[in-house]
Amino acid sequence: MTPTFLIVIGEIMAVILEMRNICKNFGNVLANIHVDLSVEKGAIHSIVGENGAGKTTLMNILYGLYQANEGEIFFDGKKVVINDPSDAVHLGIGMIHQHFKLIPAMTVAENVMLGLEPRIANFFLDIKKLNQQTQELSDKYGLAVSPDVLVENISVGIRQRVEILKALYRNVKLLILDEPTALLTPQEAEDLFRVINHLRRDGITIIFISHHLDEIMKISDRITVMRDGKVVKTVDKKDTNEVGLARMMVGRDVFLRPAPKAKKIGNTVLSIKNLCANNIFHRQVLTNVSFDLRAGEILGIAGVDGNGQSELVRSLIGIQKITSGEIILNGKKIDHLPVRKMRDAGIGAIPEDRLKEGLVEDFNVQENLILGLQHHKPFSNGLIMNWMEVGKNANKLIKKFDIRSPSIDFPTRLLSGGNQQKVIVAREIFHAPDIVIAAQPTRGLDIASTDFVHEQLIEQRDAGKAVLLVSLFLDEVLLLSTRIAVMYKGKIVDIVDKDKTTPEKLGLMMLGGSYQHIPA
Amino acid sequence: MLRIKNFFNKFQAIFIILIALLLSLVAVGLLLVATNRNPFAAFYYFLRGGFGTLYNTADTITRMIPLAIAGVAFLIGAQTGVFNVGIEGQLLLGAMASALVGYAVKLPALFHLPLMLLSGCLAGGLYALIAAWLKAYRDINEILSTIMLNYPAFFFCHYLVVRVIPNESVVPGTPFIQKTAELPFILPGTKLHAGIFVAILVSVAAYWLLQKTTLGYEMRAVGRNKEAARYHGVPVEKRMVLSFFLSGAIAGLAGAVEMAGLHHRYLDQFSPGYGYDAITVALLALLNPFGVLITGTLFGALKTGIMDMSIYVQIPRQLATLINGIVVLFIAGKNLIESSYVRFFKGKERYFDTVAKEKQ
Amino acid sequence: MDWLQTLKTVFSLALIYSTLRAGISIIFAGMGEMINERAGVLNIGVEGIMLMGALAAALGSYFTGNPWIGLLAAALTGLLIGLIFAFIAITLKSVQAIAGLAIFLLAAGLSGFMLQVIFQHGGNTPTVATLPMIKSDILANIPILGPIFNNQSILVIPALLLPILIWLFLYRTPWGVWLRAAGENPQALAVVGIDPIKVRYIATLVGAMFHGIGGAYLSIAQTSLFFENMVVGRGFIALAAVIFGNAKPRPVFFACLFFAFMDALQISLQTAVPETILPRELFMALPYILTLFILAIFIKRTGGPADIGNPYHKEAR
Repeated sequence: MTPTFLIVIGEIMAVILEMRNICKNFGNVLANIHVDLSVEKGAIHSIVGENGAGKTTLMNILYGLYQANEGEIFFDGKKVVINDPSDAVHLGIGMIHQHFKLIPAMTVAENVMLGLEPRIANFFLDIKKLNQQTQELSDKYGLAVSPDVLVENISVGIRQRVEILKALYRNVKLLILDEPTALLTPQEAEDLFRVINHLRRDGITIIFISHHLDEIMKISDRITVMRDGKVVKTVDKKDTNEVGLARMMVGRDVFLRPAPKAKKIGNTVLSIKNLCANNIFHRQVLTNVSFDLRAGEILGIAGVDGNGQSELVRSLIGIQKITSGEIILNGKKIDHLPVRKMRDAGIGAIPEDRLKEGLVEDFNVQENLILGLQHHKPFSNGLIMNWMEVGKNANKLIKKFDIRSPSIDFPTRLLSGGNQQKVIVAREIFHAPDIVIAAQPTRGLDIASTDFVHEQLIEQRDAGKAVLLVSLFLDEVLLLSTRIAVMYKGKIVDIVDKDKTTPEKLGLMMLGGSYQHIPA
Repeated sequence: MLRIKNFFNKFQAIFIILIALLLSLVAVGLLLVATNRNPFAAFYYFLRGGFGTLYNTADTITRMIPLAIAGVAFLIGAQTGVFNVGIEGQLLLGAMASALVGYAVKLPALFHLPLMLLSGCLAGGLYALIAAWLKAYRDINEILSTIMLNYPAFFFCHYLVVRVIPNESVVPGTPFIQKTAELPFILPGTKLHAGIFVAILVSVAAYWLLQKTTLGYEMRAVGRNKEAARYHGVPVEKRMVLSFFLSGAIAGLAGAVEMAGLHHRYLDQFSPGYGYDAITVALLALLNPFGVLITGTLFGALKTGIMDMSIYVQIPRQLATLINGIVVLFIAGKNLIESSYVRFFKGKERYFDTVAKEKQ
Repeated sequence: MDWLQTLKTVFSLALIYSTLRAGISIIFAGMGEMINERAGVLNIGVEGIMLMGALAAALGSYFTGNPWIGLLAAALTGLLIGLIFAFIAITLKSVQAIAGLAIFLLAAGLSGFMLQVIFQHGGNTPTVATLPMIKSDILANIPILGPIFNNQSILVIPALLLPILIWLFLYRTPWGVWLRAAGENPQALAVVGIDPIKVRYIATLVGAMFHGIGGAYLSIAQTSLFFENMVVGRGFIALAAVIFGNAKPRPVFFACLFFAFMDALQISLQTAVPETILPRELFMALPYILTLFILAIFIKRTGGPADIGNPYHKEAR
């Protein structure tokens, strides 16, 4: 094939990866459409786009997890066929996914060396060497981990280190990082960038997938923008900026505007006092959590995943049992009521996991639009359903919230993620609860749907409702909140006004107040 | 052409199950050929034995009655996510309880018959509650617990009838129930009894419960997504236990109806595995309460027809149980049928030609 | 009735002998099921595979006069049925519970059908040659160990070694790590280039093979013929043992022994306690009731492999 050299501003750079005319579809969904990608050796090449643009699909094809319908891949100048990850690994390609592919029940060392374990007599596991080699690898790259600790006991940031060690153990030449900072604090993200530069110094090429434009501008050499499955353009960092990238990503001018300020803050609607809760292993997951939620405000709960936010939300709905403390809604104690009564008291909740908790996939749209309300008038007289009213409600909500569904008895399973979320949001908001709890409301949504959800939350706030936003995306919390509470290890570290804080200060709180940086 | 395609797409579920049934028959046919028997002759005698004469047809429908009721028992549980495989045991206990009430109590028919049927429901329902509690509060797989509970139920009934209750007939059993507790025969010269009306009523009631009531909505929600139901205030454990109880009660009713309508006394080992057949009947009917009336008739025909088949084509009686297993096997594997079906009727897309259309 | 004397008769060394004797089939079945559950596949059809294994062993022994051929036939039958189940559960990604149930129902019907076809009468096969037993006068004289191990089938040796070997495999070899990974997070295996589908297939086949052997023990060792429905729930008891032991080798082994103990106990009690006081049927029902009772009291809510029962989707989005 033609020589694999690329001439950039007079310099000749070797191309390590070329993907040509990649096409991939999942049934009717066109994920990658005639995609071309060219990555130089030793560079940090970013791929930018919204959710659903096709970035992860493209990389999964490169890594052998998916098979392209059409197209070719050239690695280090040679045409290659990658049928499964072991082919990719053999070539020296490594990938760290957004959702880590680790085994929580096994140790760090077992995870790092999975599939390539050192053996005694080619038959037995050499556990000593397993731990030893992992430790050596960790020391060599300055990525501190303890080899014999179970992965389920370590934090997200350290788990990412384990993933990186996994790739380094396999002599990676090209490392793909898919949304690596999504769940990290600003400090941890800084460390990650330091590590990435380390790796680049060692000659490893990096492909960095993200939709965080500020990070992209900070770290990349070249940037490929994808939209709706196609490549829009590939540019050098110095030829663009955040606004330009955003425009290419979305296809129209996007004003990254801040949300309108809160108008009038009213009385306290919800009061949480000294909430404590244990999980099924009898470990304490909430310790003396206290805060007040007032009408007309959005209180954002920030924190790294696993610090008690999920348990807090579940306590407020009534699914998580609390061991002590009080939940007072409009002056009434509701903490030991069953879920149904707590909801009927005026709490609406958009759950963390859309498909697992928010919808019954196999129900149709009108049935899902009354989930949780099926025992109320007018949908039922308590015993018998009034399907006509259910249908009327469905038509009303579909119109108001612009839910794209062919009919009201369309199976919810077949709606797009954004529309499914709209069903949930419409249902939870429309029946006018006093409090709206939104847990990870925009996870996995594209920009249009994300905007929609944000708009709805702000509308509720302005209508005098109290909104509790729980999100792992710090920028979302910063965008929407009136006040921000940071959770760390089941406790509330502090509650501050949005205007009086910075991402860095919040990040530090999210890590418990102190942080050991990885040495430069 | 498109109209036909749409028709097949809409009723996909029904056609797929029909294909599964067809494939099972082919498999059985092959098995018969392998054992030197004529499958076509077998099928002929199946039809003749099942529907050939009025008497045979009546017999078929008589056998359908407990199968349909027990089928409803299974599907009520299944719609709530509860696999009650203990229908056999609940059915036996229901039969025993009702046979005893039918004999020992003396009341006018207006009260006696409902009481008898009710006692069957109670026995079955209460027995099912054991497994229900184990599932809801100890997370013990109900397939395991209900099958295991079948054994004690069987031993208990067997013990009662063989060692405790005195009788002089060849087959151990309870004494005959009072005339006031009987479901009358409705077709002279045959054994078809009024239990058919009970079966139809049960189907209607089950449909109404599942589709028209709030309880039914909640039960179906629990069956399709337990976590989402819980998140939205549905008392999941309570619904599961209720569903389990209803399932057991209807299974007990199936046993009671057999007592009241057909045998008029509890006979040792009167059930040729109705409880397990009921599962297949329900699955084949796609868990639809009216469908079990149809699939129950099919199975009833099989049981009637097997007699003729064994006489004329030397088919072992065990074929009936075997067919049961093969059908469930193909139903379990219906994903394969499904994907072929979809591909056949939807056709392979020309993806990139439709790009332009998609981007409207 | 002299209760003290009865108790002494019942709780003797002979009871331990009977426990071991009754336990061998449950141990094989339980160990087999543990292997496939550790890889993430729940096989409810154990009972059915055991039944077919028992039939295959009896037929093999009947037609060749050699019980070892019977054992081989049982192992192969297990593999074959395991393959069908694996195909439905792993490749077709069907609901594992229904697939297992199908195997259970299928085996019940198929075994009776084949009996009829081959022997022209249902019920049971004629007596067949059995596997050798451990019979030694020297052994008989060793205190405690003697009466327990003497007169046991030779299969007692592999039955006792199996848990140890399996533990070694699961926790001290790389393939064991991969098998456990397939049950915890198959995606993690996929990304390092090991096909979790292949791993699950092998685990299911090996497990089913052991189920078949467990069934074979019933017809060519514990007794010397096959009769309809002779497994009588042992397969489900093995399932319970795996649940109880959280799919880990040592606890599952002891759970199997414990349930076997209850089985042996009820047989012993049947003979010791006359009919007039407590009926036979009560004792026969005892193992099932007690098993559920024990599970209800002692079950820990978690502990098994994280991904069990879930089909693995290769191109999961």
